[in-house]
Amino acid sequence: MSKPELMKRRTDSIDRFNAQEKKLEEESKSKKYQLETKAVNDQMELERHQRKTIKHSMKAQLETAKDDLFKDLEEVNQADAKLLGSKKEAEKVFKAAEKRVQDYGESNLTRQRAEYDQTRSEDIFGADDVANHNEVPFKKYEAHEEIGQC
Amino acid sequence: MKHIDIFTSDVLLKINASSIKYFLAIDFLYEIDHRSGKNKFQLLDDRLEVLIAKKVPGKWLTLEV
Repeated sequence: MSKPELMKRRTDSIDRFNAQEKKLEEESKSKKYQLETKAVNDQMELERHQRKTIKHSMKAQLETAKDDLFKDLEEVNQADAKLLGSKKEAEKVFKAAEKRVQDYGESNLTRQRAEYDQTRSEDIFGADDVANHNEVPFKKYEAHEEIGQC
Repeated sequence: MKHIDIFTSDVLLKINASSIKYFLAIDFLYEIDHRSGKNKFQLLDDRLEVLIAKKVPGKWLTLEV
């Protein structure tokens, strides 16, 4: 092989080497871009999944709270129904309670008045009691006279 | 420290040690695998050992063009 042919062979080999290097560099850039894009997409997908999970969790919590609330309400309604039976029963109970209160008030007033009358008739001296007492000397004082010590 | 510049392409090996004014170029008759991980260039006390993989395994009748 002549020297020019040999030099051309070397030059062609170096050109092929440079072309390969350029191609590899472009592939590396492309691969890097693909990896970065994939990383961004994966991150977005992860955040989307997290948002979805949080949304479902909140919805589940809301449903649980509503179920608990309705359950409590149902228990209260059952207790009311058990206690009162029906509306008529409720009115009956209410009227009976009202009558008991009224009776208690009247009886209490009657009792208080009777106690007062009893106390007054037994313990308090009236004017007649004093005036009709014959055994103890009794002196009447005028308004301008000093009563003195008893 | 000796500075030795080594270049390999598909049919070429160039070694240039400018500090000692040494240059070597080998034009291989067949292609080599110049990107192989098995290629090794080791500088010892008095020599440079070069190990280059062939592109296609087989026996070469001659090294250079």
